[in-house]
Amino acid sequence: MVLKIKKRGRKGEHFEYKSSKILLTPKDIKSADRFDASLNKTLKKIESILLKRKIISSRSKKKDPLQVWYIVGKQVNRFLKKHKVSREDENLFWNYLYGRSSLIHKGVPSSSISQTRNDFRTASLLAQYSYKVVKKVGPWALWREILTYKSILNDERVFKWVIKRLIKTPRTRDAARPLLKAVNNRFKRIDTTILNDNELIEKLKQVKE
Amino acid sequence: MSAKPKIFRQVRNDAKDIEAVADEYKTKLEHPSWLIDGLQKDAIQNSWDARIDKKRGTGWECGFLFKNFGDKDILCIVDKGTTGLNGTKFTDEKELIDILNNNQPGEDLAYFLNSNWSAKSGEEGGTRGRGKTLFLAASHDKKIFFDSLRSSDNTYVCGALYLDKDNQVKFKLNYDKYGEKILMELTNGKLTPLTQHGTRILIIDPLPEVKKAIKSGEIFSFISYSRWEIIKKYQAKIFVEEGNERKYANLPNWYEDELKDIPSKEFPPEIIKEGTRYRIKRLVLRYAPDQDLPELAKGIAIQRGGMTIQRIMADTLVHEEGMSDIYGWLEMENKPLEEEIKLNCEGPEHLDFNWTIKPAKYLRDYIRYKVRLFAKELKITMSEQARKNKAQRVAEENVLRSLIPLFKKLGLFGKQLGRKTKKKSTRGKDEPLRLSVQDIKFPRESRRINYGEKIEGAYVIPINDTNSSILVLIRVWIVSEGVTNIIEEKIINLFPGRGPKIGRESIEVSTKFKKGKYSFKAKMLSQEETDRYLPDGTKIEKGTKLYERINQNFYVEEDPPLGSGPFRFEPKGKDDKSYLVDWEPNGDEGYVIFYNEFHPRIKLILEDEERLTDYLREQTILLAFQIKLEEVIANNDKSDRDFSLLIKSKDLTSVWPLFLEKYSEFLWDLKS
Repeated sequence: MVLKIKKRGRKGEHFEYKSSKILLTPKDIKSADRFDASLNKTLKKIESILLKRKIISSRSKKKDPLQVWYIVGKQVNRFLKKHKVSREDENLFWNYLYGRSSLIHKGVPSSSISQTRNDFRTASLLAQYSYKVVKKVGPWALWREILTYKSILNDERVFKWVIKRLIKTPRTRDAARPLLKAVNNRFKRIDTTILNDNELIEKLKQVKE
Repeated sequence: MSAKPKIFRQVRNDAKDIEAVADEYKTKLEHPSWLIDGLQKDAIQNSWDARIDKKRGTGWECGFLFKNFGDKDILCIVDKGTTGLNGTKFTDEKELIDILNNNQPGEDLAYFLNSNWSAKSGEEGGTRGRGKTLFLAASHDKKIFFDSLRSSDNTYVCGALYLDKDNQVKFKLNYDKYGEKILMELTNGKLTPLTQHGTRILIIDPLPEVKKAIKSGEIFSFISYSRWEIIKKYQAKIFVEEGNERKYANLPNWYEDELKDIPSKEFPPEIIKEGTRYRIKRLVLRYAPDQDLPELAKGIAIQRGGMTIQRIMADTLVHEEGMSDIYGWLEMENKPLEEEIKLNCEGPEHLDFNWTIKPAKYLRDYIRYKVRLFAKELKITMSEQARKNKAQRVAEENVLRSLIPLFKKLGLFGKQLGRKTKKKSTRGKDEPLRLSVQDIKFPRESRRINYGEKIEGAYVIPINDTNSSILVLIRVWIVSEGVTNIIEEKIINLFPGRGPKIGRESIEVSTKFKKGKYSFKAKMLSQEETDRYLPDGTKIEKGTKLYERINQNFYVEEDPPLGSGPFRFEPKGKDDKSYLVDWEPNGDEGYVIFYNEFHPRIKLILEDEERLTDYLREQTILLAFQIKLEEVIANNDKSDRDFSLLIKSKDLTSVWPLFLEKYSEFLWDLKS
């Protein structure tokens, strides 16, 4: 797929078409235009939901960042169900969301943001869980931290174990970091999918914060 | 004088117009018998367009014969199985002008008698109504007679079209019994009116070269090589009668379906340019070295409306030895390719195309790509890899890398290629527990795999270089777009040394595989808890990833993306002073840039990496501008202001200064 990216240069704003493909065809350009128009529609819809619920101000001040990003994630996931983005273009897509809605996110990051630090991708992952659980775990900043650890995300059992610990003992992002790091380090070189539940629990018990 | 000005009709010098039209044919046909060639083409096309059985042309016939009325020879062009000159029976000029301006199809009579008007449909061969001007050009007296029995109303019409003394082309005609009277007068009673539907054209006192070409039979070559398609498909009957003998044009042997000793390839119906609906019906390429291919058959015949419009010489498309022995033909789908190419790109004489505008440009690029593929398959062209030295390869890579921004800026490709520099390969010591994928083989070096082809040796061999055995799980799988397909998963006790093959001896790529990129992957996990450690200090426990570095990419039914840019280089040694660098579009994969290794300018620096890089880079920058200019013209693209203004100005002298300016800017940025 091809994405239509807004660029700011010396001569002002202009659009560029980007893709993992090297050569673009007129068909690619057309489909990028359609994709772009549809995404704009989704973003407008998100803005209107956020404003209606009064969880964001017209100056982009988020009153409840967790709820804001949760709604963004839900809507983006809905959009992605309709519009498939290839794996090769995923990174491009997440970066492409910045700078499109000054209400959701002010400004464009000066450099490309890795997938693990991308707010929109994090929101998309976050929205896969129920809002009830999400809220119980902690603030948006903590979620951004949790969702950066691959070893935690790779096995649902590990993820649930971490969430359970965080609900049981609520903590801030900084306070949760030692636990998250420890889990990540413990399973960095292990493929947990071949472990049965008991074997996994045994290993989780060995995690030292 | 009254105050109101009178309105006059502009008077044109028709004698000059006839000359001008004839000159255009002469220029385009470029051979001494151009007049009879152009004449036969237009006469047959008009007749074929008027055939009653549009689908198969049943009952259609067209021919050339001589008559004599008194002291003058007459060339008769007769047909049958045609509709005749149907349309409104006009009786005065005002009525005629209304008919022509209404531009309705079916007004054959009015269009036949007038110039630069025609309302034929897109599927028909002619459209501009220039053919009959050539009939006048072929007459010494600049005079033709015609008669026709119309299928629409059985009306007989007869008349004369001629250049009058006042240099105006005029015509007279009448219908039914008055028309018969005209025929009597014009032919001194030597011709009887037509009794079958159709049209007859009599060229009065044809020029000597026309007579000679018909009497000598030279006309047959022109007919056969331009009308071979309808002769082949519909057994179309086109004859020449000389004395009492009537001979029919045959299908040239070169266009028979199967030919012994001539390798042939047919490309099936396909889209010629991604993202468009332009489709061909077929492209047939044949290679006939040492076969004395006649001049008229050389090149790839571009067919439209059952006739050959133009032949493109394969050696003008692909500059390699042996290309002149490739011939063939291309047929187009009517909509939209044939229709648009006729409307937008075809010359008014139906003898050539303007190849710089779309869709003709797309078509030529497509043919060029296929000719090269065909030549490679037949090994007419050599593998470029075999001819490169190390300095060349490095220089080419350097140029590619440095010119990506330029190609990007010119919009010649769109990819967010980073400026990542490849890490130098620093393969360390073999790990004590590892997998080997040593036997894997793909059908091509490029790792493209087509349906029906196989990946051989699609397995891994586990290796244990430690002193004791270990229980491991080995998983081999293929992944594409996040979808995983496990080929084999086994738990084995891996003893020191080499273990069994895990995977398959071969994997056939069937149509179940979607087109796209795939990865053949494998990993080895510990299946037991141990007190042993890997060299990096990781404890081996159940689940430990012992080895997971197997990753072999391949591409089903598509070529892999270009490694680092929108073009690639191919050295090409040619003993040709005029040949330095050149380029060709390479299907959907960008461009191939050729450079002449034998050219003294390049030969001198062929082993000097740095100088070759500089030289190739500078040449490629200029080529990039030329490519861009052609793209802009072909697509009527207005996105680049500078190029748009250049084209709008139609000032050829501005091309080079613009190129130089852009060249300078780019080099400045590159070197600063």
